[in-house]
Amino acid sequence: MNGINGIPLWAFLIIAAALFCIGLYGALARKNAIAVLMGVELMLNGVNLNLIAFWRFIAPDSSAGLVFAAFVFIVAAAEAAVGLALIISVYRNLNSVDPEKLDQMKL
Amino acid sequence: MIPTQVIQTLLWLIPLPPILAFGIIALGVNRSRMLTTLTSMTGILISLAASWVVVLGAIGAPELGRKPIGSSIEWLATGATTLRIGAAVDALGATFLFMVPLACAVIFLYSTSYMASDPRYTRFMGYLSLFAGSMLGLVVADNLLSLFVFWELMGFCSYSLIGFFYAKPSAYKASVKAFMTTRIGDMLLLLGIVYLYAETGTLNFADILVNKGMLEFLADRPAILLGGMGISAASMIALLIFGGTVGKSAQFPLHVWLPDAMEGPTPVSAMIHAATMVSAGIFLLLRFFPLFEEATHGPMGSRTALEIVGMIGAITALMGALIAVAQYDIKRVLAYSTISQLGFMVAAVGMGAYVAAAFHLLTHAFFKALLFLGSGSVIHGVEHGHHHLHGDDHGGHADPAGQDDHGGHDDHSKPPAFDPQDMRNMGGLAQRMPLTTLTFVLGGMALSGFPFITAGFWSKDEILADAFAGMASGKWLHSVIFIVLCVAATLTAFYTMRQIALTFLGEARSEAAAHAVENPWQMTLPLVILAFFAAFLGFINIPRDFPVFGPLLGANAAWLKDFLGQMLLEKEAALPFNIIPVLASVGIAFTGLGLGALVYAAKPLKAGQTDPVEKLGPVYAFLRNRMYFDELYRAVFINPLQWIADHYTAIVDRGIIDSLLEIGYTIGGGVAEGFRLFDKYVVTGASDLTGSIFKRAGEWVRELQTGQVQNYLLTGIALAAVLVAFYLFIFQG
Amino acid sequence: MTYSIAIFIALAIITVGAAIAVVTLRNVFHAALMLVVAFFGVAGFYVLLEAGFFAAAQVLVYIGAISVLLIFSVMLTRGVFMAQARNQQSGYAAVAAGVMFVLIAALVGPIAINWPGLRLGNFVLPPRVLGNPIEFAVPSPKAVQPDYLTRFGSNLVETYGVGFLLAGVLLLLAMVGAIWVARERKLMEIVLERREMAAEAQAESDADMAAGVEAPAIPAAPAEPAAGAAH
Repeated sequence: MNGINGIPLWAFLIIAAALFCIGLYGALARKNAIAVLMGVELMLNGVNLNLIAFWRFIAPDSSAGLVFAAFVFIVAAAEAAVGLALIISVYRNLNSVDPEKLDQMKL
Repeated sequence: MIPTQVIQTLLWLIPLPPILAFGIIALGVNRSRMLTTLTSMTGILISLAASWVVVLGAIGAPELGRKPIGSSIEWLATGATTLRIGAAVDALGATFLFMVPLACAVIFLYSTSYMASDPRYTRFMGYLSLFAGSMLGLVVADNLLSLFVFWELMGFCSYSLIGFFYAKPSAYKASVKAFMTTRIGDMLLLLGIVYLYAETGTLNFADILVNKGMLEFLADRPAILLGGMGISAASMIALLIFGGTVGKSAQFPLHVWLPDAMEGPTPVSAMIHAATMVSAGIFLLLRFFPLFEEATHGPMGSRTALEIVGMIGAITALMGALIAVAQYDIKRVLAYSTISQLGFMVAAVGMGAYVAAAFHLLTHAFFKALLFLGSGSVIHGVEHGHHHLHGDDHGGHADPAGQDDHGGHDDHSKPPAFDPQDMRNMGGLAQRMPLTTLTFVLGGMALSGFPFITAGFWSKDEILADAFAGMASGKWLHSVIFIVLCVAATLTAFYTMRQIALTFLGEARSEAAAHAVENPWQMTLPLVILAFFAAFLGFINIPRDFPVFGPLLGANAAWLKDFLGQMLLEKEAALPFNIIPVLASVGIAFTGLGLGALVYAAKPLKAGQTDPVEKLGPVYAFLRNRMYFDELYRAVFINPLQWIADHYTAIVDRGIIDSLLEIGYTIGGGVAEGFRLFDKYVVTGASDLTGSIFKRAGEWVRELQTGQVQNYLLTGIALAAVLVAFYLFIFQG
Repeated sequence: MTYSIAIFIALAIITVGAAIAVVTLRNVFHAALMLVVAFFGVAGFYVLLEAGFFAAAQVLVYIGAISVLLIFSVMLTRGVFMAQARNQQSGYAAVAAGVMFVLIAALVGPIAINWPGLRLGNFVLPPRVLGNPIEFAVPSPKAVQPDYLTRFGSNLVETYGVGFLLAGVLLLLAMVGAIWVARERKLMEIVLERREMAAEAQAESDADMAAGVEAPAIPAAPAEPAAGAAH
């Protein structure tokens, strides 16, 4: 029997890569800052899937992979909280959530 | 006896309190002056206590030189090797740990009063804390990389402190100058670090500098550059590291930043000149002394590296002393004297007089801090007097604590501005500021090497004795250095006397000086503390066979020499006592001081009278204008670069491309009318094309700066994709 | 085993499909709902990978917290009207994402089929960047130890204790920061604060202008507008 229950490692990796790239597209192309954040969350999910898959296949005895994944969870939570707070604050001031409008820092 | 583990733990904690204090001040308490004072003082005092405990422990430890006490942790795994960072103390480090936090602490105390009325007082104390913390970190670093990190951190602190009054154009220019000039040296140092790491795979001091095998390996290996000319890797690395010292310790030819650094507040000058910046350069040089020494041995052995160091030191010593004679700014005189004294130390290292250099650095730190704080006290007093006179513009002028608004509210409205740092505006301050005068004179005496009762005498004498011993055995370098240093020392005594006489003796030459008052205790106590060390610190290192003093101190006489001597693989032999250099240093001190007294003290300058130095004519002008170094650098380096930058488009576009096309056009038009079409479509077309390519490129590059975050992200992703593709498909490592 | 493959394929279709919907749907609210679906799909993958704890954590953290937060934000910013869902660079973005996927797939490829690489003379495509030969093609990995979660927990507070603490600090800071940034402020409050800042900047620049000489000293003038704030 190959892989875990017949599923090889590369299958998980390809799914993870797909999630990552779809998220990347979302972060790059969406016109709504909240949707951009959703893209970022998808990217983080892709990364996490990668980490867990490698942990399961390569080093199930060590917890390093799991610890990494746990930290990604934590960072994702923090990022969502702060990011959304910023978006709300921007929305209050500019009445817009379009990242393209946020270029006031440019000279 | 302090347990090793306590020392190991304390070492890590030494640089921390001031750095934490910086963080607390910057983030938390910057609204309250009182809390700021409390935080910064607490920070430095904890460091002081920890350092001295470590010093006590280190003194008791056996074989400190070979086995530095310390601990390290793994920091970065770089492929097969790992980089460790750690904190360690050895004899040299212990010597610095005694001096640095003490000098910093008194400067902090002084600043709390000196800067008390500044609107940005809290920022000042924050930077000062960071400055002190980085110097302490540099001293306890056990490897070159973390030393470099703190080294650069200090560069940043000095930049922001020199330019503290950034509204003043001269101040921010000085800060940029200091940063850029030291950067040249730092670049060389970084090259040295990289080279050293490439050769040895480690940057730990203990692995390299007390490891005979490693040193020999470096000394026997030809350098990557100039290796064919008999330069060993050891020499090359040593010289690159010396480049860092030249920048940081203001040696010729990179000394130009130090006098301008006077634009910072006076406590900063004291900090830079005594406890931190310039000491760091010498510290590095002393640290790597074993490498210099080793470079002289073996088949590739040559004294080139040490000779270069010695000559640079000698040139600097003489140059600084000469320029100092013709300066009027009380702090500028001291700045050039620092340059000169650092030259003494570097020359001593060049001669191989390791202990003498460290000893002079130690004593110099105390008396130079004393002189700077003293000059600050004078300036503060004179400013106060100035405001006392012109105080009708604003209230509160009669504040006896000297805390009212100096600064020049009124300097604006009353051109020409009064310069409270100009010694021509002083005079007669001895009666008005007795404590300042007393301590300043003591510092001055130490600087000029007044025999027996000042620390400066003993350390300078040590350097001269080493030079003389070398001269007696016929080494050319030592002979040159001995003569040059004798001249420089005489000049030192002369300008010190000039400064003292101009500042304190005679009649007041301005109304402001006549109304100067003594400063509060926060400013005079540091002077007294420093004066104590400036007078008595010399007794930790007196030659054993020195008449009277040697037997008096018994076995403890040459204590520092024994202590620091552990650092060297080959111990310096104790020089036999020789009366000639002692007589020479006594004679030098008295000659210089006597000359100064004859010219300045016997007939104190009256208001409006010209300084006798000005009678030297062109020589005076040459020295007054600092040997035209700034002008020279401006003409040779800065202006051409600026010109190229300014005229780049003109040269490349109109100058080269257009004139080429012009030539083509003329030829094409002259040959025949039949070429007109060619001319029209090819030559002009090419010119248009060239122009439009540049224009397009410019527009394209400019468009990258959209200010839109998603745009930047896209660019970053594209770059990442290129890198990944490179590693996937092209890189075959 | 064939069941699990079937489940895998179904999960893959659901997850990737939902993810694509997240980044393409015009309506952000719908996108957020699709995001929940995608998160569920990823949780399913965790179950397949025998990391049940992480599947639970995924549901709790991503769906329970982050998605809810996102949906709240969408509702709070309902007033925005978006003419189009994508910005001007969406074409380039698609290309970038596609290229990225191809590159990552090229990295994964050798793992997939234990491909030794295509040799063209000296040129190997792709080279064995990660060791030679790539050892990732584990045919049948070891079983997970039954106490893996216990060890994960103790590792988290022992070996990785510092990181764990820092993560806690990060979360605290993020929470405080989020509250601070998004707090509701009255218009008057903002106006007063701006005025105070301007006055401070003015005082400082005055002091600097006056700093002709050293140790300048304006006694820190209490900002006048603070008094005016009472009215």
